[in-house]
Amino acid sequence: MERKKNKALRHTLASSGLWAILFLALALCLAASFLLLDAYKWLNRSDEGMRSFQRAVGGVGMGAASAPAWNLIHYDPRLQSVDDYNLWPIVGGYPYSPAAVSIVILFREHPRKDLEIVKTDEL
Amino acid sequence: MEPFNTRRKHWNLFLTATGNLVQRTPFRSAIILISLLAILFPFLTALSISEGIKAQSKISVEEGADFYITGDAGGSSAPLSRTSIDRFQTLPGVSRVVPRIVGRAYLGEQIVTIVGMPETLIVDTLSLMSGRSIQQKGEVIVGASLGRTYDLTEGSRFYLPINRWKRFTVVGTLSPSCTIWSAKLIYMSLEDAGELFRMKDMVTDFLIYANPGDNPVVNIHLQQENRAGLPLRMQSRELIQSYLQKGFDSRTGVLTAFYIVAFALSVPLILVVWGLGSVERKKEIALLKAVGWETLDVIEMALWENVLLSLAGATLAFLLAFLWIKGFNGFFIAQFFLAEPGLVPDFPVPSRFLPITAFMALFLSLALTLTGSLYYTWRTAITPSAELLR
Amino acid sequence: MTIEQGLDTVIRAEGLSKTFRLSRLRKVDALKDVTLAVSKNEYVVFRGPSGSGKTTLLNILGCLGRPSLGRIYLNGEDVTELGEEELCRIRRKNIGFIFQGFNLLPRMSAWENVSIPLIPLGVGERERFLRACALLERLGLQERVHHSPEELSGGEQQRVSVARALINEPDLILADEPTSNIDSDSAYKVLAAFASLRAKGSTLVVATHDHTLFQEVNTVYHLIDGRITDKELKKRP
Repeated sequence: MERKKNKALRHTLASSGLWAILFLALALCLAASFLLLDAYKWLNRSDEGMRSFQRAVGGVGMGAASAPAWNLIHYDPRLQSVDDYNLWPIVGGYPYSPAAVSIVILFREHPRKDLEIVKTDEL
Repeated sequence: MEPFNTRRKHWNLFLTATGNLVQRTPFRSAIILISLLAILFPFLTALSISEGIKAQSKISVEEGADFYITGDAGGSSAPLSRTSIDRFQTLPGVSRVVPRIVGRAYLGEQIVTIVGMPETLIVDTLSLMSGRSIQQKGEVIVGASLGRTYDLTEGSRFYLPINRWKRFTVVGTLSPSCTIWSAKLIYMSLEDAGELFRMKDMVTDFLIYANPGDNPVVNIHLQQENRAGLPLRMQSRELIQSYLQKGFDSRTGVLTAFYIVAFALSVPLILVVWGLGSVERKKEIALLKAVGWETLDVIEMALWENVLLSLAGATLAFLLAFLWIKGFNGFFIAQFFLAEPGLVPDFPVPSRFLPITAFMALFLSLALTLTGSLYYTWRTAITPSAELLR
Repeated sequence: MTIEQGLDTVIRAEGLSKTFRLSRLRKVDALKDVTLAVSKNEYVVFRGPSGSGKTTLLNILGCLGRPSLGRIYLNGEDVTELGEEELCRIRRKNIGFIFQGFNLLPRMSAWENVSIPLIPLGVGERERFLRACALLERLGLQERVHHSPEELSGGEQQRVSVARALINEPDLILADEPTSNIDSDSAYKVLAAFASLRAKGSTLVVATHDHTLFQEVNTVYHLIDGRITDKELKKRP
C-alpha cells in the first residue's frame, strides 16, 4: 500500500505542471542568450564590413529602404534636397536606395527587358 | 486549524495557476498563446528590422564625411564643377575634400545606385564576396543582389541603357553584409561615373572631412563660403544624425502606436477567448471563496495565470521572430517592412533585437491578458458565493 | 423571539430574513424572521419541503450569504456586518460546507478537489496529497484519488465533497442534502463520517429530507415558506 501511495505521489508531483515551467525557463534562457548573441555581434565590431563599405562610398543610404513609406526616413538628405515621397509625382526625383518606393520617374532611357550583358568567354 | 505559511502559499498559488493553464484548460491556454503570438510576432519583427536599418543608417552617417556639399539650383540639388574643390580644400580645419558622383540608372528593370569615387581613394578594404578591387578604368564592383539577379560575375561586361557607349567590366561583387544599400549598387571610379552620366568635370557632391575638433570652424567657413559664391546646399554630420534619430524615433513611435491600436482591437478577441468557460470560471471562483480562499488569493492565482501566459507568449514570439529573421531571412514577412524585397529577400535583412523590444513585447502581452481578465476575476471574487453557486 | 446565548452556543440567529429581488417589482422572501441557536457538538436538522428556505438558511449560517434582516452570531461573535474577507477567514477556520450539488471543480482530480482549502494555507503539495488520500480512504475512495469528477458516480462525488469539507478539521459542518441522489453505500459512508466527526466534538447542521439522517439528531427545525414552524428536541447533545 505504501509503495502504491508513493507511486501515486510521484505521478502527482510529476503532473503538477512543473515541466511546463521548466520549458518556459528554458525558452527564456534561450531568448536571453539570443539577445546577448545579437548584442555581442553588434558591439564587437563585426560590422566592419559595413563600415568599410560606407567609408568607401562616403556614406550612402539612410532609411529610404523601408516600408511603410509614411515616415521621415525615406531618403538620404545628404543626396537629395527634398523627400520625393512628399512631392510625388515629381519628375526627376529619385531615391538613392535599392528600394524605389512608389516614385513616378520619367527617365530618359526606357527600362529594357533585354540586357546587354556579355560574358568574357563570349568576347 | 493549520499554521499559516505565507511563502509556501504563494508557491502553491503559482503551481495551481500553472496546473490550471497546462492541465485543466490547455485548449484555452493554447488559443490565447496563439493569439499572443499572432499579435507579437509581426510587432517584434517590425521593430527588429527597424532597429537593424537604424543601426546600419548610423554606420552610414558615422563613416561618412563631416560635411556634404552639393550645388543648389532653385531648391534642387545640382552638380558642382570639379574645380571648385579648391574653394573647400583651403578652408581652415579641412583635412581633405573628396569629390563624388552619386546617381541612379536602370539596369534591366531595376534602378541601381551608381557611386563614383576618385581612383586614389578606392580602397582595397572593401568587403567583397568575390573578386578584387578596381584597378583600371571601366572596372566596377557590383552589389550582391545585382550580381545574383543578372548573373554578373567577374569578367562579365555590360552597359547601362543611360549610356550605351560606356562599357563596364565586373571585377568584384560586394559582400551581402555591406548594408542593404550595397545590394543594388555599382561602385566605379569618379572618371567612369562622370563619363557614364556625361558629367565631364562635374561632381554631384563634395565630401569634406575636418580635422578632429575642427567641425565648428569648418562649419562657419563653409557658411561664409556659401554666402560669398554660388549657392550651395550643405549638410553636416550633426544635422544628419539628429535627423536620423528624429526620423527613427518617429518611425518607432508610429510603429508602436500602430501596434497599440492593433492590440486594442485584439482585446475583444482575448476577452472572447477568456469568455470561453466563463460560467465555469465563475463557479470555480465562487467555490474557492466558499471553502475559504480570500479575494487576494483568487486574484493572485489569476495574476500568475496571466503572467505565465504573457511570459510564454512574449518569449515564444521573440524566439520565433529571431529565428524567422536570422534563420529564414524574414521570408514572407520582411516585405511588409522593407520595400521591394519580395517574398524571399535577396539581401540579408537587417535586424537588431534589443532588450527594450523584448520588454515592450512582454509589457504589451501582459496588458492584453490582464485587460478584462483581472477585473472580471475581482468582480466575481467579491460577489457572495451563495449567489454564484445557485 | 430571543434565544439565550449559552457558553457553548456555536451559532445563534435572531430574526433572520432574506429577500431575493428578482426584478424591480418581483421579490421572493426566502426566510422570514428565523431565530435559532445551535450548541457545541449538537446535531441539528432542518426539515421542510422544497423551497422552504433550508438552503438559504444554511448559506447564511455558513457565512456564504448575508441576511436582509436580523443578526447572526458565530461562537459569540456578531458576523452580520463583517466584510467578505473576514467571512472567508471564518469559513476557512471554522466551517466545512457540503453543497447539495457537490460543486466539485471538473478539471481537478478527486484529491485535488479535496485539498483545495489547504492551498492558500501554504500546505505543501505532498502533505496535501497525503491528507486528502487519508480522508478519501476513510470514505472508501482510495482507488479514486486521481479520478476527475466526471469519472465518479454521484455518490462518489458526494463523498469527495464531504472529504473536502472535512480537510481543515472544522468545528462546524454544514451539509445541504448530503445524501440526496446517492447510492446507499455512499450514504452509509457519509453517515459514518458524520458520526466520527461528532464523536470528536464537531457540530453538525444538516438540511435534509432523508430519514436515515435523523437517527442521532438532537434538534429538528421544521421550515415552511421560510419560517420555522416547529422545533423538535429529540436527544440532548
